[in-house]
Amino acid sequence: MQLCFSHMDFLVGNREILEQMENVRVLPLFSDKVLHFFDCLSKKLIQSNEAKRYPDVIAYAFWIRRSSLERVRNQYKSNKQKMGRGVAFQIAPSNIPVQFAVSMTYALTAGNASIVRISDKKFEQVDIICGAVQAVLKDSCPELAPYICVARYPHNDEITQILTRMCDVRMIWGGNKTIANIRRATINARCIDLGFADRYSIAVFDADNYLKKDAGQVADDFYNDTYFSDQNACSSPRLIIWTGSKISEAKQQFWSELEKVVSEKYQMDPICSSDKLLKTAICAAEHPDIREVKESNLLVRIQLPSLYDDIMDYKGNCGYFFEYGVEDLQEIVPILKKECQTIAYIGDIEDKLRKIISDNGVKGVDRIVPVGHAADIAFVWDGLDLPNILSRQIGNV
Amino acid sequence: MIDNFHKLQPYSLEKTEKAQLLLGELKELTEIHRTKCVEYANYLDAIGYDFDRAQALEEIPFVPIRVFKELKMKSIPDEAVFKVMMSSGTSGQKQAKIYLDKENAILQQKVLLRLLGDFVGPKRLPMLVIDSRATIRDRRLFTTRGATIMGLDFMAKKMVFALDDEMALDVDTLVDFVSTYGNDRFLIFGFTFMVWQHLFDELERRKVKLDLSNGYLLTAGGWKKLRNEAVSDKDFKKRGERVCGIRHYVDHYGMAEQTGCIYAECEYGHLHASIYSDIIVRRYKDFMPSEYGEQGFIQVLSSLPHSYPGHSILTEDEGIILGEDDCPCGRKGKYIQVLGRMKNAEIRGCSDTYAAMF
Repeated sequence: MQLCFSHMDFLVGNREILEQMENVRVLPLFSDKVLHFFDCLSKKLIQSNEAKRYPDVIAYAFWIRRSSLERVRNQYKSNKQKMGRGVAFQIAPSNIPVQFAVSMTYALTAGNASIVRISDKKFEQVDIICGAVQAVLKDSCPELAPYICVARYPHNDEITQILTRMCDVRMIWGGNKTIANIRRATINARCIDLGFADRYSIAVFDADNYLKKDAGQVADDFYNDTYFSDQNACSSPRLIIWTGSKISEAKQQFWSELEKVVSEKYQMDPICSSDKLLKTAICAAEHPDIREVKESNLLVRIQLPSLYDDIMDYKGNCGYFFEYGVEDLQEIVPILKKECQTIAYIGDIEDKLRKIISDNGVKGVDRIVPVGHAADIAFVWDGLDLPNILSRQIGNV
Repeated sequence: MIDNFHKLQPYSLEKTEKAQLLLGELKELTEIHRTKCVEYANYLDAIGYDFDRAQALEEIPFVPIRVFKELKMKSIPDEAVFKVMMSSGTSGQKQAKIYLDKENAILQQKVLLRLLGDFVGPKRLPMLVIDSRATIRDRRLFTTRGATIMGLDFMAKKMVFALDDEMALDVDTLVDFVSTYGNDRFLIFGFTFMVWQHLFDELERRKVKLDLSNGYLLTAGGWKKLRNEAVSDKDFKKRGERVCGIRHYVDHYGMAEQTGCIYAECEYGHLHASIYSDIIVRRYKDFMPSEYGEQGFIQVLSSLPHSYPGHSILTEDEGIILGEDDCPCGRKGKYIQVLGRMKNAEIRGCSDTYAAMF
């Protein structure tokens, strides 16, 4: 049918499956078939020796196991009938290797067929997961094979346009530029188009509460939120806001504990050292009163004399943090812009943060989670309740 | 005072004397640029630089090399700008801009001549350029390639371009050059890859026999492209001798951000720092100076940049200091090996995921 599909390199599925995808039947929300498939996939991954080397693959495997998905299914249980929309075409990002599988999980659990275009960047995690998906489709769930394609293809607006024409939901992960480029391909009138754009995240730490905690544990948790993904996930905090009365004591302890964890665990690309220095030079040109503090290049922090409202334009990664101490939490309102995604917190401040958001009609902040959970995978992402958005409700009124 | 340097032979100072001379000059430059370039001053403040602390060359603050692409690093008023040198950025990349006043431009050329002169002799010689005249025709579009060639202009008694505007080898011109100047010492200049592709390949393909044995081949960069084709430094020299008899090779390391202060290769294959400049190799983890023999970031120090704060730059090249003051060629100062450009950090951010693809 479509000649240009021959340029596609399929990791799961093939050209015939793709060509027939528009014709497959949609499934109910959280169908048994799909939950069974993910349970098999979970087991396959957890048993795989290759997968064990990748904590992100294992975290994904746990997220899709039966008990975990059953729990989510129960949360969505209602007397309303919900079915998939059709074909979900997804553009996966190149910064988070397992995100393609997470996206596919959203699409399938909502009852859709799923075609994912993955980044050209090679990740072993992608190969491991795709290998396991293929094996499960062959051995345990052949009836789901018509629902799944994962492919790479080179620069080709034509393929993107054809896949876009086929789809009922389009999900674009991966930054404003990618979204703008993909959106040159026009969608069908009823297609739902979701752009998961550039975001930034922050942390708010109550110093007094922190000092009562196990500092080593907090450092490990924070490491997972940030360094684990080279501080490059949208959900990785890049600005630390301190509140409370013993800020300088807490800071001192927090950063020195983190430095210990980082120097033990973190493998940094050497060039990041000069990247960070460059960030400081660029930021200082605009905000001369910032101060860089570091023990080593692995952990560089920039102390802010005031909370510049454009500060997140200067954000860095691989261990590059802004920090600021507030007298009153209200001071953070100007940085809770639309682009702000997650607040990771320490202390008894969740309610306070939620109140600030509602009192001020803040447009940013889609997630407030305890430190250590910024990188968790969830069915509500970027403020979107994906099971409900990706499915359709058959109403009775 | 830079004039004090001119009175000395360029590779004549041993460690202590050199450090003393250079430190004074670099501290002064740091202070001058701090007062004249606000971006530089802000940077020094942000990194908490303490002026009184600089008691050794290692303590002179350095700027990351890409800052010349990102900020206007300029220590002279606009009306004093004589020339803006641009780096040869590939398309889509930002270009570095180096602001020179007339004095600084002259200083760069003067020093370049002194340094190269130490390797090929002080006399101005005829020069065969393995490039096209088109590279230098439009001065507004100066790239490193054009700038490097223009920088050598002073050095040449006469400059002859071996390639035509379409980058094809002009054999008649070449034969003419050899019959006129080939019996005495002369210079050949080209970027390594250009020499390989446009001179060696072409001479062989067209079966032209040429005697360039009195030539000194100055090369600059372009090794990366050759290495991709698995051509080593030795292969290059062997082929040059076989194809057209070239015996003298002077490669050098340098950059648009510090034009003039080149690190030229001696007959032992070592790249030498002159009295005008120095190299510090720094560790990735904390920027502490590496031991000799230990790989790290190359930091280049130069006493030449007066019109822009480029006297101490952390490059993104990796290298090793091989030794100091004891190269068998007799030149004093540090000698180094350059390992090449560091691998660019993979772009993993939410932004730019693979925008380049679409």
